[in-house]
This record gives sequence, C-alpha cells and structure tokens, in this order.
Amino acid sequence: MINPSYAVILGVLLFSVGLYGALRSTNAVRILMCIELMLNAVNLVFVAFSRLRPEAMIAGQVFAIFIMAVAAAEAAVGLAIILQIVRQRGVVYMDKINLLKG
Amino acid sequence: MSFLDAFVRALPTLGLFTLAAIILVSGFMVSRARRITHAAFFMVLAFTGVAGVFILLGADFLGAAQVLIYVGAIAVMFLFAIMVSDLKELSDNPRGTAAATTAGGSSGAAASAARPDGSPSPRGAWSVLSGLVALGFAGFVLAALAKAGLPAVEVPAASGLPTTAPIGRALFTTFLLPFEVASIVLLAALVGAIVIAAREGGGEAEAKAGPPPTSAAGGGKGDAA
Repeated sequence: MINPSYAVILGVLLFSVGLYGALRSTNAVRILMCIELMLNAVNLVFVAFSRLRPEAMIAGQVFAIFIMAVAAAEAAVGLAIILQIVRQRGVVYMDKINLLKG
Repeated sequence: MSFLDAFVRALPTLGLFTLAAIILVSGFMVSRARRITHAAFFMVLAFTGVAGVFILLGADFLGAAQVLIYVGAIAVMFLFAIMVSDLKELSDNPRGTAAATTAGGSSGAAASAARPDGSPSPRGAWSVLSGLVALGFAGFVLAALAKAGLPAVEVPAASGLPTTAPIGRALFTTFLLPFEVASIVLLAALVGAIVIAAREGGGEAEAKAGPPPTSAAGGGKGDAA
C-alpha cells in the first residue's frame, strides 16, 4: 500500500529543485536539463493525482504522455538552437550572449 | 509474522522514500555538478528514479515510456549535443568565470563564495537568490497543499493491472485530437530542429550545405514515425 500524496510532495520538491537550477545556471545546456527536470516533476504530480482519483486514472497518464512528447520536442529544438549559438558565437553561457545589450 | 506483514505493507512507501531521496539529490546535483557531462548523468539518474516512482504508483506503461524516452532518447540527445558542440572544457564556472580566473582558483565553491576583494560575487548572490525563489515556491505550494488537505488514502502499489490497453483506448477515442496535434507538434519540432542545427553557422565546420539537411531530415522523420 502506498499513499500517492507523498508523490505529489516529491513532485513539488523536484520542481523547485529544477527551478533552482534553471535560475542559477548560466550554461544553456544545464538550464535545459533543469527544465526537463521540472517537466518530469509535473508528470509525477499528474500521475500521483490520477492515482488519487480513480475515475481520472487514465486521463492523468495520457496527459503525462503528452507532456513527454512536448518535452522531447522542446529538448530537440532547444539543443539545436544551443548548437547553432555555439557555432556562431562560441559560448554557451547565457550571460555572454548579449548581442542586443546596449 | 505480524511484524513481517507490517514490513511488507510498508515496503512500497520505503521504496518511494528511497527513490525520492535519490531523485532530489541527483536533481540537485544537476545544477551543482562541476562538469556538464556529470550533470547530464545525474539527470539520467533522476529520470530513472522518476520511472521507478511511476511503476510504484501503478503506471507501468508510463514507467517504461519514461525509461525509453527520457533515459533513452532525451539524455542521449543531451550527451550528443554536449559532445558535438565540443563543450568539454566548459566545466560550468559561469558568471563568475572572470573573477575565478583572476583569483587563480577555478573551484566552484570559491567562485561562488566571494570575489578576490572579499565582497560577495554577483554569482553567489544570484545563486542565493534563486535558492530563495525555489524555496519560496516550494513553501507556497506545500502550504497550499496542506491547506487544501491531501487525502490520506492508501492505494495498492503497482497493482497488477496493465495500463497499456486503457491508455491506448483513451488515446484513440477521448484524446484523439490532442494525440494527432501532439504528433504534428513532434514532427514539426524535429524537422525544425534539424533545419536549425544543419544550417551552416558561419564556421568552418561543414562546407557542404546542400545535401546533408535533406538526408538528415529524412532520417529524422524516420525516427519520428
């Protein structure tokens, strides 16, 4: 027997860990990794709530699948953009990408 | 025997706590690991832990999909991006990089702690600030959850019912339109990613601009299908 509320709390904590990393890092690849962690935390909360509400069991898991698809798309496009920035400017640090800064 | 019974009943909860510790520590290490490659592998560890929690919650299909998609595809994509863009020297000492190199020490702790002149570096202040923001967010949401009252129901862990068939049925009946939209989004994103990444970036990397994008796009579509 297991209480899905623990998984909800775990999801909240994982989201804030990812938020901390995404705010703190300046390496663009690391920021993307932390965003993936945050999306994963949301998935965790979706699955936990779907377990808490038996009539929504499948809907929550289907939403988690959609989030996975969006996360894959986001990682692909984000990494392609980072690759292009590295090729053109030679840096991955967000605070070094300041072409538009006055 | 009753002790054994209690232990067996508490086993899934113990497993959940263990997985939670692994997930949170490795998630924290994603942002603290010095080398970006190490961060990527810590991310893999966190994803695997989340897959374990999915299975504990009875979402067996999602657990398998988590391993296949995140550990198998996304993490490998990150590692490829790190290696292709040749970021191996980027041990992520950012924002305080200049200060750290002038100080002569490249240790992340020293760089985030203080500048040579003793004043706290903006990087350290920023790190503390983002920590406060994250803590505030967690506190706010947990307080809201406590106020709403999370139900203390106990559900059987990893109930033997496979969820694959119900998920497939739901995907092709109730969620048919979102499913098709998601597939188009995925296709468009992958084609777009290939177009962006294959464009020559003014560098000397690849002199051939014409044929590779089309062949790469074909391969990408094959992967997406």
